[in-house]
Amino acid sequence: MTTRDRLMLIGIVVLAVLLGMWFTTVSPERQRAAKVTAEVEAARQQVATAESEASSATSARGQYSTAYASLVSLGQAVPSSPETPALIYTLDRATHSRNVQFSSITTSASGSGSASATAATPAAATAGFTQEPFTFVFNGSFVDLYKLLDQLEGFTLQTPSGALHVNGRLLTIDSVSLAPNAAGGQSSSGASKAKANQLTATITATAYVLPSGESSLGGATPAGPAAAAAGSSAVATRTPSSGSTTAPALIKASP
Amino acid sequence: MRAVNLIPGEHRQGAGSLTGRSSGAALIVLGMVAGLAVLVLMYGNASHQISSQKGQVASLTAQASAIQARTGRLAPYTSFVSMANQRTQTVAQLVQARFDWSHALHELGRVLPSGTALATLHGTVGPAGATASSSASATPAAGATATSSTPAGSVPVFTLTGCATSQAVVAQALQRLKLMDGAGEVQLQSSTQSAASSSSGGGCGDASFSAQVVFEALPAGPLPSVSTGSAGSTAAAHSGGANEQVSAQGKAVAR
Repeated sequence: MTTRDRLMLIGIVVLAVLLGMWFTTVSPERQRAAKVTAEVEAARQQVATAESEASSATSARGQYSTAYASLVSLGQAVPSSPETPALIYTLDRATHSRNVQFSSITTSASGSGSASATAATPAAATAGFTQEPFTFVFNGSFVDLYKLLDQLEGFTLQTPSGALHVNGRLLTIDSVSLAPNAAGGQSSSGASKAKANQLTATITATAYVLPSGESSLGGATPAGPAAAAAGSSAVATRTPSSGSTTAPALIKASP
Repeated sequence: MRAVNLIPGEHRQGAGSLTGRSSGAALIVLGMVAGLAVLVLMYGNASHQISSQKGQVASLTAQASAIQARTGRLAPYTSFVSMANQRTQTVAQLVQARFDWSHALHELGRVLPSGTALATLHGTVGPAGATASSSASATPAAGATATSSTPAGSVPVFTLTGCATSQAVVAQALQRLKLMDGAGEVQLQSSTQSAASSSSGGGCGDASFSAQVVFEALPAGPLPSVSTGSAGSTAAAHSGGANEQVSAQGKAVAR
């Protein structure tokens, strides 16, 4: 073996040793370092996400009073229970402001009572709220009746600016039938011409209630939402009646 | 005779080369040392990176956990605000999906010519393509994607019966009915010249007619951005008289 051969052999051995060290020691360590770097990036992203969520949560806490007021307001439009007495009272008040007689109201859910049961579909739960069909019968002049319709739909309406104004139940009128009043008007006005112009309006409308088991405010109080309020003794002392989540929200709103 | 090189070894050609007297062994050693140094350097760098970044990961994870814990404490606020927004959007969609009955009746009174009187009017909001019968009441659309009982695409239809002083006035009435805001189609169902006048409709004339006014389908309104800004109703709710606060204050805003 010549010197040149020996040198080549030594060089190959040295190269093999260096490559062996690279593959057995250095390269795995570098891979581990890359993995840890990725872990750092992931942790940074996790922190960024958590910070973003914390920011939105803080923002939500800032919006709480507005959201609470909105839900209290919407509790009138869409209550957690049918609240038919309140609806009757509301309709009666509305007819008093017009020269309209509130003759009857029929609900399909109860099914009993009035003989003038117009076909109204059973209460149907849809995607958001539960529908409560009603049939109302009013007596009045044409003008008074269409103004009454305006008033019924005006209980809950949206302004051109997009804001919701809630003054009562949200009603969707499904059908309106106008016919001459057979009795010639039952009001005690006495004017025969006015009696001749009396119409009977049969209105089928749909009111909405929250799905069963869902309350208007979800147990929230003016001080905070249910879970937050439960953890705060100060809140508990201020709102001692905040235990039930299914109680009508409007009652809970007034401490 | 054997040739003898008299030039001293260190001065011979090639003796000053890189390999020198060791014939390249030194270079191999140097290369090995350099290679080892590079490998050690890379290994050390990677190890340092791992140790420092592991600490960084631990720190970031702890930071994320702390932020998430803080966010978790505010989660009830987030879900409450989300619920308020969702409910507001749903109510706004229901409000937007309604047919303006009052305006339609107002338009009807506006366009009917003199010499015409309506005996009955039956208006429904039904699914597109359905023709309204004189006795059918509107049925809330079961299984509709929207929660409204009059979902987008529903077609309002008025079925009118009445009388006119002559057939010419009936024709004029049909033309005029097309002028109603939102009226798409006016169909005459019948117009009968009666032998004996003043048989129906309050004795307005000889020709009794029946017609149907089909309105344009209810539009699919875009998802509104809504703010519930009913300070009055909110205050009313707080005072415990939410359901009794029915006033006409919203009407002026609505239309």
